[in-house]
Amino acid sequence: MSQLAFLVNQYNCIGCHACEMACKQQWQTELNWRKVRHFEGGKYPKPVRLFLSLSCQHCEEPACAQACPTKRYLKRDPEWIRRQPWIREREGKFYVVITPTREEEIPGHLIMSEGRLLEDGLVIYNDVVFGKGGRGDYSKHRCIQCGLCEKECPYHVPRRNPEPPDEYSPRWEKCIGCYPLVQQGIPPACARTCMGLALEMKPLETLKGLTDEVPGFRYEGTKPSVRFIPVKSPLPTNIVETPNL
Amino acid sequence: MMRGFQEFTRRQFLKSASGGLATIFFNESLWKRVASASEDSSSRATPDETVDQWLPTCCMMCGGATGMLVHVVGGRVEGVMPNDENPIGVCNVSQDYGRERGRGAKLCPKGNAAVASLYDPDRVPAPLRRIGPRGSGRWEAISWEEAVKEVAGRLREIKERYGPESLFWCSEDASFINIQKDFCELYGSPNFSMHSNICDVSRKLGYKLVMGHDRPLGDLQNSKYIMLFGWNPMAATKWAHLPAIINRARELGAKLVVIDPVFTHTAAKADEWVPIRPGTDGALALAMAHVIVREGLFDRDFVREWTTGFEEFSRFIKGYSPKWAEKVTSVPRETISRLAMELASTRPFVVDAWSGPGHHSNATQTVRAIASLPVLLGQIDRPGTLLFPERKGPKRRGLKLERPLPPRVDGLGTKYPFGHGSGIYCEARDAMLTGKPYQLHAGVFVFQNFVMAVPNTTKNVEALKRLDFIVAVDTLLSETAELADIVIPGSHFFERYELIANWTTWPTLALRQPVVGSHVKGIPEYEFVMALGRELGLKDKEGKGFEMSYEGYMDAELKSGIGMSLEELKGLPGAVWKSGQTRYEKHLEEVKAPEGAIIDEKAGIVRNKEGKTVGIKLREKIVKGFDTPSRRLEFFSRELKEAVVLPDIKKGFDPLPSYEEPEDEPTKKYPLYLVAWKQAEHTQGRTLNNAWLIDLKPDNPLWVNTETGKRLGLAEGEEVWMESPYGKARVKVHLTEGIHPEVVGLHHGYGHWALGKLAKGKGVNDGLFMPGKAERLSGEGITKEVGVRIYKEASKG
Ligand code: SF4
Ligand code: SF4
Repeated sequence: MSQLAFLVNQYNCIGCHACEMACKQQWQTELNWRKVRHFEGGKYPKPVRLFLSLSCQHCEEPACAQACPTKRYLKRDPEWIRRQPWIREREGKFYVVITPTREEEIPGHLIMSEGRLLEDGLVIYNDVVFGKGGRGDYSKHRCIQCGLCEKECPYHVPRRNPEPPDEYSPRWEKCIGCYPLVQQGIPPACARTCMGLALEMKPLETLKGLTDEVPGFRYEGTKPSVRFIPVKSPLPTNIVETPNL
Repeated sequence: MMRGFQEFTRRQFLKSASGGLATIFFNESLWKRVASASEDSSSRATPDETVDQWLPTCCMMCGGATGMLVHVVGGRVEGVMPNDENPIGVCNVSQDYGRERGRGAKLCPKGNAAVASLYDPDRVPAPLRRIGPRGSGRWEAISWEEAVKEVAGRLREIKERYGPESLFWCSEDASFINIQKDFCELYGSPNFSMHSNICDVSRKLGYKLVMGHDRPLGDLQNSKYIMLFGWNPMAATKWAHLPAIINRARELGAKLVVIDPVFTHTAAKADEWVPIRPGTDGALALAMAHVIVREGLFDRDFVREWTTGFEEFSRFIKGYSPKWAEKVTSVPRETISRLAMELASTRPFVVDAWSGPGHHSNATQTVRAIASLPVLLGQIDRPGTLLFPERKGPKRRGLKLERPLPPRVDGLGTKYPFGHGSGIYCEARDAMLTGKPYQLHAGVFVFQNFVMAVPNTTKNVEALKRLDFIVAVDTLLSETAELADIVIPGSHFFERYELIANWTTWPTLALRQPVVGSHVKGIPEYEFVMALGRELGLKDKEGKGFEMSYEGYMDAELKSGIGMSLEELKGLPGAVWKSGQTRYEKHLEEVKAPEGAIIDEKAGIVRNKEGKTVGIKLREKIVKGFDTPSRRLEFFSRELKEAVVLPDIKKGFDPLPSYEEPEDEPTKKYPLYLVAWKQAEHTQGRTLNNAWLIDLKPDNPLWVNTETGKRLGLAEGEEVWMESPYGKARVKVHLTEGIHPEVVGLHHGYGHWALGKLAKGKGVNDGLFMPGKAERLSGEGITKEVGVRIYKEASKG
């Protein structure tokens, strides 16, 4: 399988935030990894309101992974993994080279299944292991709280958790693509619950021809894995983002 | 509560982790996969604290009861997901269910956030006795035994001193209703009331009068044209499948038209938003009917065979031209005519109305006018139209009372001959204040925040203060609980039972069951009510009281309702019972004429010996017809014409769905209409203390049309005064293109001064501004009809 991507259907999205809450309960997070944004425009009696549900774009060239000095992020893509000078393969195991003298083994089941590298393209943490129970094992995380991942990500997806639950938790968090579920053929929590039939996770190659830009989202050099079905009516020029009102 | 991340539990979700992961598949029931993955795959909650289980239940973050699976590990809830064994969350028609369930069921944001309510630190921790003055917030914890003794003692005393009818009892409508009814009847009070009369009873009555069914459901998914009057199903997502079934229709090209003063989230998805003056929907519907009749576009055969009163209706409708309606509604006459033509030329269609027009003083007649549109065009009980659901559910045991119950305090059955069985909160509240027709002395409020939910908040507080004794059952210290003498900790729906006859179009029934024990020191509230009944020694003539367990009570109700035991229901996949298929055009089903039946050949009506109509004679067959007195769809209601009207009610009831101007229109002094609506993030006022949900939307600013705002000199985000003749408050302005220029409005449910730390002090309560009247036919509380003014400085009167 190849790169997975989110298909966001703005024509269907009703701005209900169910996806956001489903994610929150799935991983029991303090931050909302997925966020639904609101936009308004037009002129009475023909106003326009748009919603945009976004989390991590699981980019083909993830900037967070390059930015992190401790190399916490990892893309589940064999070709990408082999391209990273800071990832070493030895006897079927993979190691992150953090400094010339410090290596950490990447837990095998994070990137491999039945002896082969996984290739869903999800951008995950290699220092935190998530289970279905909704929680991650953060005790061995390497986050040094520099915030470079957030800064370098063109969408500023990794965000700082001002109130991490405990001393073991990293301060920066993001969507993990529900990989423990997806790996088993179960849709991610957000897509599974989506009341508007507006959110799916699909192989990127099946989304050819769909637009990769909508108001509030630009296609950047990191090659985000998200495509859109826009609303059908022509958009007015005065669209602005609003809070949830 | 969400602490302790360091303890990672390496439990596998599905033991069969597959490596290939070719597709994310939707075609197998999630329930099956989850059940087989669970360490304990039965759907019974086990008390074993070490077990990892997925348990089926039904959500209760609102009254919709969407199907849910709950992940319970070591006695703690770790997560939820939709339960696709339960049609609520998938769709409402059996023929679609088989296909759609594979694409997965849905849960709304509130359902997904249920765990944050379960572990809400503000939950009432134990039975409480008030020790300060009312509203002082000073309490002492007491034991359950003390609570039962004290409440029973006070109720006994009040009954002896003032009579049993001086007890007013009200409840949410989806929680152990039958036990509560039993209690009231055995105690001797006629005044059991429920939430429905501030929800949708005008809709119910309007449809009942025209179609003989009080809860038609739109087969939205299979419709080609959906016209909604003041209904916001994309945001007021009572059943989590509502947006999905509308979007499936939209994807197949159905047109969605939303008639609403507010550009709701549903309007935002519509092909056409028709802004309208609040409370004038009836005028619009009548003008559309006018066009359909004038142009001869109605379904002649259907109208001839299946309706009554068309002659009167067609004469009456002449007076309601689009030109006239334009003046009343502000909708251009061309739009009205075009919408009528579109409706008349598209099949199948759904036209429906809910809480927009439903919360006005003319609501029942409005719903009747709207209901006459599908009647004219024969779009009823067929695929893609309004369907008449078949429901089967638990059957309440009958009680043989020692003496008949005295008349109700709220005028149901007398002043309100067409009122709903759920009572009339506004009238009961007024009776607390006036002592007429008699004085109420005790009040029990079960999951009902009466103070905030009933229109006219100030009056509500005054009224409750007149009661000698108040018991509130709630999970949080609501504004109502604050006035109580005793507060009983309510349980979260993860901690209690309920049998739910689903609102699908074919008979299905689901179980809500405790998935965890109560982490607060609690027993479910039904146990409390039963204990109270035992303490008071309440029994009927045959000795039936509250001796059984609640499980036993449910078991009996289930057996007599659907012939199944509670254990059997628990054993079904997803704990959901489903029977048969959605049936269409049930009025055409043949029936046997009862013995001694009288057939009126000319009218084509079959009556039984007692003269009650039981069927329709149709081409040598006797068929069921509709459940109205004439067995036909009624443009003209003889019932309304013949209703006995009390001398103190000036007007009678018009048998035709005439347009009545709303009673509380804006005036010169209060020139703007005020309305309120729901959004998916909250259920009325009760989810406002949910940490996750309040975080999504911490405020409810007042929507003001940009032009109106300009005229009044208002700026975005500015704080101003809003005032009606009944109340005033500071509000924050949001200027938008998405509201009628004569209307201002806000998301209902905010403005708490109690309930919990998170809810308190956020936003504005629309109930504060309302007159607090009841609709004269249905008795529904009028929650969206008042004029307000907006100004910057403190009022100079
Ligand atoms: S894929 Fe999973 S982690 Fe990512 S936003 Fe959706 S629910 Fe959250
Ligand atoms: S759950 Fe679906 S419809 Fe609701 S906001 Fe998220 S993407 Fe939109």
